[in-house]
Amino acid sequence: MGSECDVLIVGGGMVGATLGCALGQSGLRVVLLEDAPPEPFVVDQPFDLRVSALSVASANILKTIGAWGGITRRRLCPYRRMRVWEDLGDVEFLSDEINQPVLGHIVENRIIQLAVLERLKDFDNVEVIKGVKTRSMFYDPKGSSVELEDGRSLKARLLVAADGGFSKVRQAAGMGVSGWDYEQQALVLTVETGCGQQDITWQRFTPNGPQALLPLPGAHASLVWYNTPEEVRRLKSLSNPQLLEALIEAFPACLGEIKSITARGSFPLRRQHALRYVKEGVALIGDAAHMIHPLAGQGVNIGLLDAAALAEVLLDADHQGQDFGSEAALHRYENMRRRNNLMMMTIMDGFYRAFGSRSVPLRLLRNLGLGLAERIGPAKKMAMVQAMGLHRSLPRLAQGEALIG
Amino acid sequence: MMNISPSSTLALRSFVDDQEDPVVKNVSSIDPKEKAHFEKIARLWWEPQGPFWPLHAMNAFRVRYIREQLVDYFKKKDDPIHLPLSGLRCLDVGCGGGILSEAIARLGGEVMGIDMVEKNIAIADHHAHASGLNIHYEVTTAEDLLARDVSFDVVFNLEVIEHVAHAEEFMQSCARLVRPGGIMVIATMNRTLLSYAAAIIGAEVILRWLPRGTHHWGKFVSPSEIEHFLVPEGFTVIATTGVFVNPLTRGFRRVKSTAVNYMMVASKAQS
Repeated sequence: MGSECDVLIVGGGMVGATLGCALGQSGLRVVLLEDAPPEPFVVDQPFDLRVSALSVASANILKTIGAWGGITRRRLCPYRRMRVWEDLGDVEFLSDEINQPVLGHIVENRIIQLAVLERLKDFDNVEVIKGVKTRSMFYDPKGSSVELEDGRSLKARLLVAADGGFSKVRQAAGMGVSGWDYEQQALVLTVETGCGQQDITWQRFTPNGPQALLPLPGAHASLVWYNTPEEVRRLKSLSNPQLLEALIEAFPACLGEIKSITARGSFPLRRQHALRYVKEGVALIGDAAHMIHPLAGQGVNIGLLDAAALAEVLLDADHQGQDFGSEAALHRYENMRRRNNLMMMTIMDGFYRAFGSRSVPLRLLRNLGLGLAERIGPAKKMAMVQAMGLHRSLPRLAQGEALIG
Repeated sequence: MMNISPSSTLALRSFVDDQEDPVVKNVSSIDPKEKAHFEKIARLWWEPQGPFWPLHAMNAFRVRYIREQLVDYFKKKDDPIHLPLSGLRCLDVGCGGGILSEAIARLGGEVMGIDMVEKNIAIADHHAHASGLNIHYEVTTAEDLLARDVSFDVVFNLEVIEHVAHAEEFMQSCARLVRPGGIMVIATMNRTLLSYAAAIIGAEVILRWLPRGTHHWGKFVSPSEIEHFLVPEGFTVIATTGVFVNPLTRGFRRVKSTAVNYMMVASKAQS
């Protein structure tokens, strides 16, 4: 049995599911494939290791598509302050300075995904196929086909790759990437703190790599310790009390008491960018298009902007009687996103290189930079606005503007 | 910032018309070699970065305006379930590679596209088939069509009048192809000093968006001249908008001033 649709989204992660919602209530027939649906959320369950710092723009997108309630019903932690420092330079960003109630929210990735998938059920024009893997994919500019392991086959005018950094769709469409592995890994720990819920995230740069704390609801926090793969391996082999000791020694005392480690994991870091985001009949979004250093937590944020931009482009094209799968239509999406994403990746690389260096002039320079950022109001505001994704020329959804109705 | 005519179908037409082929009357019976040739040019026509990019950019802008106007005038349902232009019989005069015709067909219109250049019709026909659209294309003129006693709910007259030899006769033929109670949509360029600066100096000489000699300023037509041609045929102008082209962003937007590019919608009396 084969069935046809307009848009086939391969991958129901945060980004793919957001695109699905953004196309909800439109005239397009959408199918979303999610081969590994997330476990449901149970109140009081331990915190997941994978968390994201959702920018204000991301929150706008999730609110506009109607998925934000699913997050607030579960759990999240707003933050109003962000502190970045090295040995000398130190800068603190406050949401008040740019007249925003918050700088962002720390949310577990699974909660975001669950909320968006839940919202998808409200749309009659979007069908979700869960728990079935794809057997084969055949890319054709005029209409691709995907065969599922249960024997079903699907045909779609537009194939959307939302299937992650090692995207099968991207491969099937023969679209190239450039990339490399960072000589750093991230050790992620969920910890219990001695203080109550905090409203500040901080990042400290050390020559071995940055350290970061993201507050979680209640007396919990997520610590990210970037280090060489060898050191991460050594730290992971330690027992909880030993690791806690190493942590207390390495992390600044001013963060408050860290009482215990409740979960740990490590992730390799990769930078990867697709050379093109679109070809006739196919578009890449999220990690399928770009993998970025997680330092400032921008990965999910730029992915959600991709979803918002692509939805806008598809619906505009459809409204104008344009073939939404044509290169002419899709090209606008690439224009809206690729350069911006590249800039964000380059800034993250800059941080990685500048702060990873032990050279004295560079250290002076970056300390000076942080010191200046603290003293020069407009520069600081601009940096904040960028980091929060509030700059102009955002996709309409990210400005809180609905695409339909 | 200045206004520029981003393009003209006829000018671009001459681009594909460089090597004139023997007249191909029946496009479905063209030989394979011809077909390969058309396919190559058709790709060019439809390439977003190709020589026809101004047409693609402008078409999206225009269709938004046209959609609004037609939905409003014919009191059509405009929601995700209904095609907004369903049931409307439309004629695209000077359809070129079919960029407007396809958009109108996708929105539900029953479209006939006519062009004097055989190659354009072959390209348009080929592309519509590949896109699964049902559009009737034909190598003919408005004048010849009129002799067949046909009429349409909507006649699109976009960027043609400034290229024809006898504007008045041409407008008369187009007007008579509109059924009583139907409408005509016109897009063209005004004859002002500003349009000379923008369309000829700006778009052709400085920006080189268009080949030199694309436009002849003396043939540009003012909104009042259009009205003058249409009123005797029982038409009333129901909407006019200026079109502003930003040369830096290549973006289009509606403006009050009709000094350079403009669009006009005129309705024909019921009887």
